[in-house]
Amino acid sequence: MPDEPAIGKSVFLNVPYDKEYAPLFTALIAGLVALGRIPRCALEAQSEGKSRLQHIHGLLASCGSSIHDLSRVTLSGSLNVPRFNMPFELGMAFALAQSTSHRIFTFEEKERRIDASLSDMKAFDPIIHGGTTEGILGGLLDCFDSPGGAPPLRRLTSMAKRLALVAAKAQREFRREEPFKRAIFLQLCEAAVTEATRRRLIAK
Amino acid sequence: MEHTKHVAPPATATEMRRLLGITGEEMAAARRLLRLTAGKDEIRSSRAAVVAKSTARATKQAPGKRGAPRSARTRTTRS
Repeated sequence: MPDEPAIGKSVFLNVPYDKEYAPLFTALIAGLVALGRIPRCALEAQSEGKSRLQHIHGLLASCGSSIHDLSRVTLSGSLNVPRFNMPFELGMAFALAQSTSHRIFTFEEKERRIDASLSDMKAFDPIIHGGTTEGILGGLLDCFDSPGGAPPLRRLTSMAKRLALVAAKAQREFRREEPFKRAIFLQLCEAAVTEATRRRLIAK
Repeated sequence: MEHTKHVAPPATATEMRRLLGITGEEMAAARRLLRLTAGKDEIRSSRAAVVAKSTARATKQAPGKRGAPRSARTRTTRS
């Protein structure tokens, strides 16, 4: 288990792993690193079944906050069913938040849709990102701050554009259409850390 | 309640790498990707710089030509 200060700086990402969401996922990594936060996600859990859930629970518990994007409430996949993983992990985070200082942030692409899809979360006032990277980065600025103040949106946007180029190259090398693979995620995190250090957004 | 920002001091690069368990191999791969993708931007910007420089030189050397600064166009050249 990481130490207390590291917990406060870690953010668990509970987001859809689909092709349309790929640029938003890259923007989340770029934005969080630029804000001095450490992105964590289920891609780090390599096992399956019960042990995967335990791993995700452990990851959530090691983060001071979590982002839950509930934009994928429609039917999807070959079986045409809704995906329950994200609401399920949000439930895990909510339970954690009842006994710890864990903070929950909900994101949605469309305004007021969450009122119908998950009315229990109405009080959490979701961040509406409109499916754009600017919306995501603006949302991050609404959620996170540091004692010295957060960098302006244009600096986060510039970081995200840079990381998008890296993501495209990494995906080509791994012959993948999206970045949802542990190795790509870690390379993107490292590229974001290197770039944020070079731009003096975070300290070495 | 949930609209207040989560405030924490920013993590350092060392903290981030340690927590994510980034290996030397991943660091090398990421730096290579950054180098490869930065190349395109640098080439583009250096090409633009060369074009701008040569345009500036051309307009300076050929006063009276279209595109030259007003001061250059009206300047009388000494023989």
